[in-house]
Amino acid sequence: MFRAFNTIFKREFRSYFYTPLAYVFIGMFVFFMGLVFNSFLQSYLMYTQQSQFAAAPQVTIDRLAEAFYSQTHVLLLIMIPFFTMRLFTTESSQNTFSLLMTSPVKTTSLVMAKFWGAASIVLIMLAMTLVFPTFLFIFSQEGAQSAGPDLGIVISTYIGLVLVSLTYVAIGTFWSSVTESQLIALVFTFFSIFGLTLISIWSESTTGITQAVIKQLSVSEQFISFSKGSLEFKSVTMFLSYIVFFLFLTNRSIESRAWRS
Amino acid sequence: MIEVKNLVKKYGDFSAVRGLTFDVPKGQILGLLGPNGAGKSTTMKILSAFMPATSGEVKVAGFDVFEEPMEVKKRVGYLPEQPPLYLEMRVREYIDYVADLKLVPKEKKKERIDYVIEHCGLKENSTRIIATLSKGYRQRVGIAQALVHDPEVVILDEPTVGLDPVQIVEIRNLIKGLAGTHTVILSTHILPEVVMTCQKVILINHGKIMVNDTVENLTAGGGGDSLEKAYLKIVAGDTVTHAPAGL
Repeated sequence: MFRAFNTIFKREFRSYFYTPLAYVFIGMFVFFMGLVFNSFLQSYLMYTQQSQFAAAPQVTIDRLAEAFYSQTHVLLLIMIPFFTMRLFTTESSQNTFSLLMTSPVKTTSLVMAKFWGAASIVLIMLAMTLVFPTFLFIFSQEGAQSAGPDLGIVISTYIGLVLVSLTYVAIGTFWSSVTESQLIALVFTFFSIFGLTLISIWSESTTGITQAVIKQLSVSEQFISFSKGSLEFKSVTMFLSYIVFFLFLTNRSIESRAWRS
Repeated sequence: MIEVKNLVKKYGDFSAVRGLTFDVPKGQILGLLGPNGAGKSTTMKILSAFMPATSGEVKVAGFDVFEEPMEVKKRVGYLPEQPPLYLEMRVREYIDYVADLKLVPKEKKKERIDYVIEHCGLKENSTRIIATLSKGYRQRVGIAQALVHDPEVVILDEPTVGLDPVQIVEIRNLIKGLAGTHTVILSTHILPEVVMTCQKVILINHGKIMVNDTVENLTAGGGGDSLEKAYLKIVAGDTVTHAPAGL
């Protein structure tokens, strides 16, 4: 079974590089991240200068980094649907789905290979952003004035980013399995992801248990707790549940295809 | 090698296949003949464990396609009507990928890939990107894909469609060469093709078997005439008002 996973995963990963898609998107991502990091540095400088003179509220580098990482989150949210939209849709349009279905490949291996194919590209993109905290660590040592970022917070933020990304990839994998149109997969993935992020706004108008439930389900709400440095078991569980849930749905949707045709 | 009993397939209210029963012994080449929409492709999809039947029993290479689809899939090479090609891949890379999917043992892989590339006439094009190939060459890649794991049963849905006359002869010879060691089912609506490549013919129309006989018996009357007559008689029973051209 591992061979099937390996074979499909490798092809999936390479397929991003057959077309300029991966190059363009990774390039754009890194470029925008650079811009965001630049503005982060500038505002950090501004705050530290202010705090030298006035009794301005002390802003730590970690508080500012929260804003930086929430922008990373938004960029991922926009880009991931483009990486997942073609996962299963192209198999249908090229009729290669019939090749996969008549090969001794378990549906689970197929779904996992597709999921990790897209996820690995996203994780590579995330790994590239590690250059920014590394930069902060290196240069903070010299200036005694400004302490560097808290390593614990950086780690918990990255765990959060990885979990959020995998959740979005799982959602995108699911939508690409239910339609033959890349555009429909893209649009539905966008809406689902935005929905999961935006329900936290809805929670403001509710109270009590409803609010608690919505807050627990909201991806952005959970992500914020990661970027504050708290690595909570219930948040990790929630992300893992989302991933398992959507991959399970994908599995079902692929298996039902044969019966629907 | 292949046993089919009372095979029925319904798409909603429409019955594509209505109670097919036939069997193919090991090493034989069977031609599934019939007009468009007769149920040929549907039958082949069920035999290759791609699609479940509504009812009936199908055994391929000794395994039930519903009970043990994985075992069937290991032993079947299937070429659908539209070859399942990743257009952005190179020919050899693609066949290598299929060999891995079909679990060809690592030590045999290179030999098998070389074999199908040579026998399907893809040697000069093995490094080309599939998207740049003509329809005939894509069809050959499709056939190579179905044979790479040396399957016991080969199911080919209209294998010679889109090929030029020279290629047709080559592919026919390739298929003929499989007889004896492989069990082959191929579908077509070209009559001479059946006479030239197959040992047995099943003529189906509206999902039912109309004729099930050996090519020898059917052509005994003289050079495929009786087969043609049988075919035209069956097709003429439909709404067809004129004899189909090119038969």
